[in-house]
Amino acid sequence: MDAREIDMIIGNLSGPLCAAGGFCAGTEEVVEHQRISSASYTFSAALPALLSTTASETISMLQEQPEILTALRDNIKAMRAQLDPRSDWVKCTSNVDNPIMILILKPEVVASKGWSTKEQSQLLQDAVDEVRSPGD
Amino acid sequence: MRQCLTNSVLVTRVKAYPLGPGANPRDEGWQPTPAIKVCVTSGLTKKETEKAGITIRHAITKVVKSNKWSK
Repeated sequence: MDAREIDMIIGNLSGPLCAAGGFCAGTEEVVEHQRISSASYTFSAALPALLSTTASETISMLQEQPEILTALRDNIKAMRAQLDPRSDWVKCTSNVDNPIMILILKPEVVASKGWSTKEQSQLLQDAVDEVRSPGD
Repeated sequence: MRQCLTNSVLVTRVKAYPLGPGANPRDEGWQPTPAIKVCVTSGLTKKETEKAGITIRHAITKVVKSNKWSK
């Protein structure tokens, strides 16, 4: 997709880059609109120096060692292969390339069991506990 | 969100906006779909990642099939 067809591109440094803050990019009009309309506290705090350095170093590492990304992509494929569509119960709603995988209970399973939102939440918590310390 | 680091697996539960104290379930409004968040890292080998995926899948299956959840 042509980047010019997107109103605003946003990114953040607080995820995989382990820093804080982010950026927005757009046309002049969009940027002007943001500067006028955004709440003033959005731009009022400076990024701590430690986190700036972290972000900078992380980006350098990624540029100098592209094999990190290749290894990550292989791992994403490996993890996905085990979970979606292989699991009967959950599916992944994240993009195929995303290392952060959001797994939800399959809608057809939820419908057939009649689980409420709260019950789904409890079930998934049980699953997380099971991963952490397998019971018998 | 609770985080568990075990067997080289980092898994957290995506927590929906919690209800305020004493909130009636009828009032809860929209809640996001409950989900598990699995974070893949380049810090593990492919084999370790696969093993982690298997661990997660088996845990989910075990819980869904347990007496508590399969009435």
